[in-house]
Amino acid sequence: MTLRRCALLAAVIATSAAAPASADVPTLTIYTYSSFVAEWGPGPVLQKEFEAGCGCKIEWVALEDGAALLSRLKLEGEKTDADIVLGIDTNLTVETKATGLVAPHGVDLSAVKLPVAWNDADFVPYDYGYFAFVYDSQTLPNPPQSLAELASPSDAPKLIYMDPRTSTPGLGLLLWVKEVLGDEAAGAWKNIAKKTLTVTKGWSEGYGLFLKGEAPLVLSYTTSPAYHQMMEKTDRYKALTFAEGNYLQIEVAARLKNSDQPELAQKFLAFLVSRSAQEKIPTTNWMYPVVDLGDALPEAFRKLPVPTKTLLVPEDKAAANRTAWIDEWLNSAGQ
Amino acid sequence: MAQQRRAVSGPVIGADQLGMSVALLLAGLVGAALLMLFAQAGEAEIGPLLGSAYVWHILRFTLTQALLSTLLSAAFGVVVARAFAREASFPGRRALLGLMSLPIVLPSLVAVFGIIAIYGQNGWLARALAAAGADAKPDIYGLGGVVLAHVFFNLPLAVRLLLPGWHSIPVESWRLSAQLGMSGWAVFRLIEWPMLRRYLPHAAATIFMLCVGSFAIVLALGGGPGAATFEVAVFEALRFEFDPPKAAVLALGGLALNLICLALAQGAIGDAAIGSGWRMRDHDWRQRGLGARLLDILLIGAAALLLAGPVAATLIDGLTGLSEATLDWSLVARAALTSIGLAVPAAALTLLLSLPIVLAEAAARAGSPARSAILRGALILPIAVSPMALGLGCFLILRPSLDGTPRAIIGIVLLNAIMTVPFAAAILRPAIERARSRHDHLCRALGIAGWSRWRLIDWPILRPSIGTALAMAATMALGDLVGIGLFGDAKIRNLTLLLYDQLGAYRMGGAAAVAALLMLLIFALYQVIERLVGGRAAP
Repeated sequence: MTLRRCALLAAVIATSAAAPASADVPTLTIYTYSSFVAEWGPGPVLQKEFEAGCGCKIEWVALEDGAALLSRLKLEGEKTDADIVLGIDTNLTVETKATGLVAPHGVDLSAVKLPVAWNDADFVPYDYGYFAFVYDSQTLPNPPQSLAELASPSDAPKLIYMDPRTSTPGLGLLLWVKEVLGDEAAGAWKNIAKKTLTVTKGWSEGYGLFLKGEAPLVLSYTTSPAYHQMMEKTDRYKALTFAEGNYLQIEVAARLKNSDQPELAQKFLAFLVSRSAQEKIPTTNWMYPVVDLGDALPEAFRKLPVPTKTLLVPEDKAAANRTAWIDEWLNSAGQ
Repeated sequence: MAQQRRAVSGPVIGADQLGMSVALLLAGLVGAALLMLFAQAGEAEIGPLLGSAYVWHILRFTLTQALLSTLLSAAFGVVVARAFAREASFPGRRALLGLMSLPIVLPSLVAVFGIIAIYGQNGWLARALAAAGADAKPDIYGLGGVVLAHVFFNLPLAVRLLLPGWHSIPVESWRLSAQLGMSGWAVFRLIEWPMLRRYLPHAAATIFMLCVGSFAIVLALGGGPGAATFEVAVFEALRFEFDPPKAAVLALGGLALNLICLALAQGAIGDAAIGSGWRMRDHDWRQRGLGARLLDILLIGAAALLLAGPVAATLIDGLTGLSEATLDWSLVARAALTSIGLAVPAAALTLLLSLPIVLAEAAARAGSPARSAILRGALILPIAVSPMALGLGCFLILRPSLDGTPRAIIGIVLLNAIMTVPFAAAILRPAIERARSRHDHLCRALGIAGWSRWRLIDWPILRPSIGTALAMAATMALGDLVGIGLFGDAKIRNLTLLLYDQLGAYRMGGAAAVAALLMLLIFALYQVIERLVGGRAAP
């Protein structure tokens, strides 16, 4: 009896999962991270618009995060099904390129406007943001104004950040601290450890704890308050721009060498930086678009504080030193 | 002679061979999964890795938190299970025991937020303290929080695993102890301790291994990078570094730790013969003194409070979340259906894997300890191995022959089935032992064997336990995130992923609502399966 029930349920799953695929339509397989294809994420709207004009079908493979994407590419190597990988960030592009799987995009990026110059032949940027500490203005009236103040020797205010071994923002903070404080990073981590409530596996858990009121300060993005303003109509949560500057994260996509749909993949990458696609990014991924939308950028975004200085460790330097810097962090913050 | 041997060999013809084959298949799958990781290209040098201060630090923390969590869970587990055994018929007992099966199957993220809602900086306890004018705030971040969360998960598990021990004590023993006027201490020493020596080592080993493999809880509540287990290192090796052989070595490190613990547990198991009284009715405990009863009620109440707090907080937060957020109900329904559709086949497969092994193991115990040890080892192996390494290994095994949605469905079902085998086995084993000790003589005398024995004798006795095992396996698989995340088919999105995706998109209210729904679904599915399969007698 159980078996019959199981078979029935399996059938339900199989039919509900397998969309009606018609054989003649070319399929574009895109590897991305899970939240990109969530119902409220950019995935579904972009898919609808692109499929309407391409006579093709998009197949998403949704992994946990950008680092998981890179791992999957390394694992599958030349045999990967992916035509496009979407959701790698600037700290991982060097390693992604080192797999030898990436093909030049060949997309005209002249309309792309980023805080730093972009002339990468392989990766197409589709959104960006600055890492920032977000604070709860109801419980923290005087938040720290600089990284130096954050790393000062006191045990308040309590803060939450993410583990650089397991999360992209965590790695971003590690590079940020190293870029600003250099040789003093070890001492800074010792001080930060005193006010650390906890270090979470990913952004989701950390930001969730923050919203639960566990700590008044959390590592996130300068764009986070835009969500609370637009969706929850509250100014309670604010992002901090630090005197030393904030660390930049650019999310990129690339097409793969072994793709059986190279033209389609290129077409999608070009679509990704089109004004129409970029207009969807702010309110679905809560990041800045990579083209100037002018007045089409929601007001909440236009009112966000913009860092006076943009920090970005060169990709190759970040890749080469990541292990050593993580060790330094472990030895200073971990014991 | 031949006739007689067949009758002794087990309840089903060829059961021993079948059990051993399934055990080897299971162990082979787990072994192959780890081997697949070694077959990948890697860079780390193994020697320096194992000698590094980092690995030793991780080892130290893993051991400290796992030992503390196990000690506390097991000690409280013993006294609470004892109280439950004595208070055999109070109103709500069944519901409370049902609740006891909840934490262990809860996704760790749900549990973490439930625990925070009570004990966190802004939790109920903190607010109650503030309202009472106290200056103190609970601080659960650090070793304390990790251990607290692990006790929340594992105390109920300990109770579930130990309670059958008390039920295995024949009513004659209790009567005799009463007639002889034994003191409470003498009863414990002479009757309960020998039973515990059989049941406790396994329960403790299971809890220890779960704590060694703990990951998200340790990071979320650990309070800093010093709090990290082997599983964190495995994750790191698979994620940013992508060095599968290194992950496999670290997973083997965790496995070695677990095997040492298992060997210790095996050594601690007493050989005290379990009574084989005919009338296994439970003893009537109502004649005890008021003090003893009060203590039992207090213990049960404390355990209930520990459990009910985070559960209630999750439900209340869910309701609040529901009022704040707009949930797309078709999305929720689809995710729930996906969860169930993956969990039920996984549970069925778990039973197909574990039942033959447990049956063969029970048969082999008397005659051949070596066979018994192999079978036992296969049953426990899945929790001794890092889930992440096991998952990736399964992915690598399935990759050459399958792709797309079928691969994801089969992979998720297989992975969850493998991972829940130890829990199903832990539930099935006492029942099968009991069935054997009660009926082997009779069946041998009457020449009942094979299918007819299964149908007439074993099934009616085992049915409630099979129901419970299926219910537990299904609800554990219901909260799957490892499999879903690993196979990554964007069309297969279960409730846990929906919860995670909401949390990943600032949607705290929606996430809280889905967490509460997930918990309700887990509870409902557990009850339905346990009653449907297990019949009225369960648990």
